[in-house]
Amino acid sequence: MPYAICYLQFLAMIIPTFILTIFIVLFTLLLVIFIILGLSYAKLIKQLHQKEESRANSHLQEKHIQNLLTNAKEQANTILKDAGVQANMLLGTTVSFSKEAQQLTREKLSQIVTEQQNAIAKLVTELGQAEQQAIQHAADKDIQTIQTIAQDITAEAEKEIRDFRSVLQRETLSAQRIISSKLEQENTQLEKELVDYKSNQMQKIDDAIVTIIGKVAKQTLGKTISEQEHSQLIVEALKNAKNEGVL
Amino acid sequence: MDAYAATILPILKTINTTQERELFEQELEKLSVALYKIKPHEGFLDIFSRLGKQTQELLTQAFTKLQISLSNTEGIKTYLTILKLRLEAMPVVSVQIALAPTQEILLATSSFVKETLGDDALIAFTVDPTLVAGAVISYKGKFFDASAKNQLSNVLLQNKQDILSLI
Repeated sequence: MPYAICYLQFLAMIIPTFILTIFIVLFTLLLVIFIILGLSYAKLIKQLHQKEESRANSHLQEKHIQNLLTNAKEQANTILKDAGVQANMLLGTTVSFSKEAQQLTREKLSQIVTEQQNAIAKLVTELGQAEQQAIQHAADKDIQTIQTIAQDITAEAEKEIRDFRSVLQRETLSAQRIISSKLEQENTQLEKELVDYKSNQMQKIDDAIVTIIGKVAKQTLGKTISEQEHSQLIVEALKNAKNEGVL
Repeated sequence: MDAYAATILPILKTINTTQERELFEQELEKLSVALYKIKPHEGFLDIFSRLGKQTQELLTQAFTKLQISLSNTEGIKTYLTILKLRLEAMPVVSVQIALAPTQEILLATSSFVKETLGDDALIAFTVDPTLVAGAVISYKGKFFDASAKNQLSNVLLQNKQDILSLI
């Protein structure tokens, strides 16, 4: 009997140490998982840095990372809860385990869980801050790049507009000069043609009047003038020519 | 030479126009050609007999005054040559009239021209119906328009603006 009691006491001393060992192993595994998650997160951050040019994608990446962190946190909590539940079950099934030892073990376990949860929460917070800083840095860089590009585009656009305006103004003035010159030439030509036309028409009118009146005179005077009168007129013409010094 | 001129002038007095001179020259040319044939005397007489009556009379009078017989071919040649030259030298007055010159017009104008410029003066008539009446005279580069057409034109030009205002 004393051996049995000693054995139980020995178990009561051993079991908490065993359970603690299990918890430590579990927590170690959890840390490994977090390290892996952290590396993955760092890798994602690196990829995110490489994809700075795409702001729209960065927003999606941010959401994706947030989801990953949230999932990791939830998984860690779940693992911790499961570990706590399993430890309680082990403690509950240990009949001979002294209440003092069980209370001590639970408190210790609770303390470890709390510490681990705080550590996880802190890690998640730090990772989140790092991620926010990375995203902000990328965003700032994007904004600067975009601002620079926008400034360049604005400057180039202004230059193009100035050039276009200059060319347009030059071409317009040139076109105006050409049109003015053409109009002046046309006006001059038209005026000349008008003067020529008027002169020609006046000459035609003169000729027509002389012809018509000549015909009328011939038809009237020519027929009415006798041969003797014709002769007298011719002699009169000769006399006038003589008086004028022609003969 | 004066003897020749004295016989030529009556001939020239009978020629009033360039047309008459041309016809006379053609007859003289026939005589001249006959004088250079194998039998000049016979040929000359043949041609002479066929000339116009007035021409025959004028030449006969001239030959008589100059005592050139019709058988004296050389004397006739000389006279014809001088006569041709004198015909060519006749002063010509150009007279443009409205109708073909009638005998009355011809005599009236020729009489005036010969009285004014001499018996050897000729008239070169041309016809332009548009002149209506009167004449256009030109002589030795001088010109005088005394046609009815010119007078009408002057009247029209003087009243041109009034006429144009009516159109």
